[in-house]
Amino acid sequence: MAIDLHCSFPIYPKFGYKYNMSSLLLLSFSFGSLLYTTGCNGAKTDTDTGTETDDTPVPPQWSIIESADTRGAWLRAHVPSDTPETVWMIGGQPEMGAIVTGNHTQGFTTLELPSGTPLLNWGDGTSDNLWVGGLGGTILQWDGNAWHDHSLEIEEAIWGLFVHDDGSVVVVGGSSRWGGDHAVIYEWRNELWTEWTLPEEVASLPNLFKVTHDGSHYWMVGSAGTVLYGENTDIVALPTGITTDIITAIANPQSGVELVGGRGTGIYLQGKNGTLSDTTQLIAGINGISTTLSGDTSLVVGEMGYASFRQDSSWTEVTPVTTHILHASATHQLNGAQVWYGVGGNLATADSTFEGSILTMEWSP
Amino acid sequence: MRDVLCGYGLCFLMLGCRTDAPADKDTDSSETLAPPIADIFVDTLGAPIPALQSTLFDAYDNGKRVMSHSFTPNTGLGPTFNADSCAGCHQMPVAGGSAPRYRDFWLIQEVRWDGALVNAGTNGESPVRNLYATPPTFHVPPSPDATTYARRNTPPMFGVGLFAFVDDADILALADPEDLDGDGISGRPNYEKGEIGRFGYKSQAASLESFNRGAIFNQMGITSDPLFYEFLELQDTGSNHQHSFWNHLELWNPINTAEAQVSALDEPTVDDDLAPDPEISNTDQQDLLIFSTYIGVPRPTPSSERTTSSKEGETLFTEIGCTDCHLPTLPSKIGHLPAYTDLLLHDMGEQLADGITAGFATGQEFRTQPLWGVGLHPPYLHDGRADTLQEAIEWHGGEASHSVDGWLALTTAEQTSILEFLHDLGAVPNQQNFLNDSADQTPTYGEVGGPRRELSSEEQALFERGRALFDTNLIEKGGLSPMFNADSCRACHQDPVLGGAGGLDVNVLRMGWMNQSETSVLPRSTLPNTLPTELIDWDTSSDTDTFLANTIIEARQPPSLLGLGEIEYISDSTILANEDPNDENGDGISGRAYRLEYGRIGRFGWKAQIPTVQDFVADALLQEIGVTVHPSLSDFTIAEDFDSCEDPEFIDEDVEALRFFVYELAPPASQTSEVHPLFHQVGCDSCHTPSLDNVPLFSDLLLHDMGYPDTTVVDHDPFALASEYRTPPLWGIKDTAPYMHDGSAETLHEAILQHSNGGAGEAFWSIEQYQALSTNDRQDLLRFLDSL
Repeated sequence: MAIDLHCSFPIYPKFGYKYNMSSLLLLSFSFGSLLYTTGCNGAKTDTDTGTETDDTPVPPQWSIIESADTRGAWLRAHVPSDTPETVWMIGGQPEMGAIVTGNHTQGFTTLELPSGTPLLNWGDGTSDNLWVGGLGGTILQWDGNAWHDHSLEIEEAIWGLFVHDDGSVVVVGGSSRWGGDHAVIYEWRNELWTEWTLPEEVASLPNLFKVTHDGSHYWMVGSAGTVLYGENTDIVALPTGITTDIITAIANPQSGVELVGGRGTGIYLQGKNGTLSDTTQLIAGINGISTTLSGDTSLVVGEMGYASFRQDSSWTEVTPVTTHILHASATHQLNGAQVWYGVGGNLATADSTFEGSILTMEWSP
Repeated sequence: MRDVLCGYGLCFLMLGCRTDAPADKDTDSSETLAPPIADIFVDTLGAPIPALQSTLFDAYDNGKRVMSHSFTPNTGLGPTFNADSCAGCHQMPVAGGSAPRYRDFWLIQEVRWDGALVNAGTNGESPVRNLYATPPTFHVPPSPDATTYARRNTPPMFGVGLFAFVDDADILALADPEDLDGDGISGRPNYEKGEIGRFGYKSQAASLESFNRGAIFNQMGITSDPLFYEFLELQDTGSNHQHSFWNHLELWNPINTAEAQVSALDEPTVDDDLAPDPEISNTDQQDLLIFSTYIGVPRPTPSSERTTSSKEGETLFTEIGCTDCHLPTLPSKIGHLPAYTDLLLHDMGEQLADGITAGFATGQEFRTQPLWGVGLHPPYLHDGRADTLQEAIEWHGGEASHSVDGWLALTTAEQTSILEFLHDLGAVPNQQNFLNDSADQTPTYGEVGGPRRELSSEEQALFERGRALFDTNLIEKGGLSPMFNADSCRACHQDPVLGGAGGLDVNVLRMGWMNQSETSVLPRSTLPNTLPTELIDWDTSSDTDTFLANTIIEARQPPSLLGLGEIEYISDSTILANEDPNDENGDGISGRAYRLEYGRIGRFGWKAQIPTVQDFVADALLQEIGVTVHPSLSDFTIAEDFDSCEDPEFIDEDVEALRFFVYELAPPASQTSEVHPLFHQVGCDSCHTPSLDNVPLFSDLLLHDMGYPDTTVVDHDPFALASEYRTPPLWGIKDTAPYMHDGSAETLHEAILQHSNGGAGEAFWSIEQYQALSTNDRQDLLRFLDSL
């Protein structure tokens, strides 16, 4: 399916402010380790003239690929390692999953799914070994030519999964409006699923949202600030001091693991060798994150179309162009440029108006 | 729905959608201090802003109705929330207002295994009043893991919705988080989903929808859906409406997702009770939102009517730095709002800290509270710790310390002038005495809540005077017990009409102190009343564990007063004729009369301990409210109490008016003239005698042993066993839920089953008979009770 790259969409003015990166301060509260950003979203203004005085370049700007995609909301953007010029968008509606693949210069095509596939939440792997997970324990494998159903007979939703080069897969999930009531971890190995036991401290956890692997250890994140860390089945709960949900974690061999989440207000933190950094607080809840191969630059996306680039401890907000929630981001090198994607959409209660957004931009520090 | 929303959009446009740049805070004030575009001030509290378009009146009125709608556990309430409506808390002086301390609730946090503080008591599990909850829990013990009990006093809603019209940028322009100007004030914004927070004590909510849905879920346990798709419909209705839609979007931030995976505060809330989700309809929630948005601002005293002292106070208010945070006006899309707030977070110091974090707000930070109408709604501060504005001022800390220092340096006259100024910020008197019905008229003969007979003009005047006294906010009168935490007779007797029973949320608490052997319970609460306000502060008491281990707290459901005059009409001999204290007839029923001194027979109260309506009035005034009457009028008062008000605190004429009103309240009209055979077959009529002296009250007015264990009941009465209760009248019973002396039964079916304790008590045989009935027969019996 070809997608119009030039469809118009009203620029949403709410975040339309430039700001000086130097005003983006990280302050440590005396009562704890929580860090927060301040000055973001507000221009440094000359109080005499009312004019903006910073000379920061215009903030990074999205281009709209899709703004009201009726196939549903997009919950995952993924660049397969074997075809790094492509990006896969995964999502759909509660009763119908959807996948598109391609890139913004070559166009996108829709990948047909087995009939009855529900909303898909996440995917990982390569173009000939792509695994996706969704509601009601749905797990499918794409071998490049056909789908194979490896679904679990559980009500829990599969929120995240990680595919190893050796073909093993670890999936995590939990409760949703559509069923299930507790967090689950399963491993696919030797053509069999094995359920892992949660650490005692989080035995009653409702959700694990994502799983990633840093080359030696798993990092799993979930409800109420949960971070699980460990090797193989030997996982432990790391003390975080965080009470809000951590929604996504990505691993980068260079920079370690980055974790994002929050509800209403966002959080960002890093992890390495089982240790977590202080938390940075962001002005909107964060759902997704992607990072460059070097790990120097990351893009976080979240509520109300919020997006912001991180370079070290500095943040540069992206002017929003949608009020849709952005669920995930991805990035790849394409024709010498660093291209970023933000995907999202609405999955609220009315079943006739699910819609998605796919945004892209070229941006380098 | 569509029409309503379109109307809202048009109204918004009428109010003026300003789309220009945010105001520069240093712009000359003469340019920025323009009056509001729309008239936002009201003379009747609870009325909408005058600028509200007529097409929204119905939605506003319905929203006001929703405010007072009584939820029950069967419709999703709780499980332990012990008020039953939004107006249960936002009640004073009208629906949408604030509340006395007896509606305070708690934000509770517990320490998690990794040291994090996590919220507890959400989804209707947070009791409004400490230690008491709805059945079957009754007493809410403090969590052993809880470390934070942050008390919250209900804030008023007047004008608050208009903050939705303030641009984010205009709030940001006031922020100075690093105190770059060196004035000691470092306000900073809170955020929700990238929007500037503005609602709530910590500015934790950026939209009214978010705020409302959070409160009805976290406090009340009522689930709701986000309203996004209701608004989205507007996109299909034409370009003008689409324009309105986007304006709404900007204001209300109604983007939602139902996906647990992603961050969104406003996904549908669900719970696991038996009521289907959502437990409030989208239409009702929409109208509640409109009510919340447009409830009017109390009109300030006109400048021409203000005293010189008040105007001097206004100047002093600025000079001592109060306006550094309590900014006199805020720019908005509808003009400048004279709210006296900057909507920013400020550090209020350790003494006011509550330990609660919300978004960016720390435990010491609070939003600058708006001051319009501040004089109308004591107590003050987030936890209601201040009785007076003076206390509230002096208990500011942190960034406000310099202003407090300035205040303390003022003369008494100067301080008084500031207080005058503050009271002038919203001087609308309470023109609506009644909690939930702004159009309340005194019912006439034949109407529920009216007199039981045709009254002469003089009698009618006395009845109306008594009714007004019954509904009067007695806090303003003074002399109330420091332990009384309601404001009127009406506060407890209001269901379904003035003079009726107490609702789910108005139980009186009796307290007892278990002795060392734990074999008996001694009265702990002292006269003159037993309705506690501050019997324990979890967050400050050093002996909480000891206190809780030894304290018995028992609920008393305020009974209906309808028909008390008819009951007084019943002769003593008729009551005594049914007495059989030694069960000589061997039927298992051994009712006995409550015998007072001088041969009097009691007949009123859960223990039948009160002989006359006049004594009932005197007893309630003293025991519950703490107000004395002249001892010559009743034995159920005292000559002097412990406060500084001159006794008697109610003059004789007022006592007589109250007595007359209660005495003349008509009994509920029965819808049936015959007693259902099953009522007799089950044995209900053994105690619930259909009539005495032709008064069809369905009670023998005698004490019966209900079999409740002595040690779990606070025994206040030396002449009745703790397990003995008077047979309560059944007339009008369907309108008086919850049932039983402690309000422990939500339904009549539950009430019947609670007439015994594990086989003990005089009613046990009847319960067995009831349980043996077929389903249809049970329903027939319950329908009969409903018809009484």
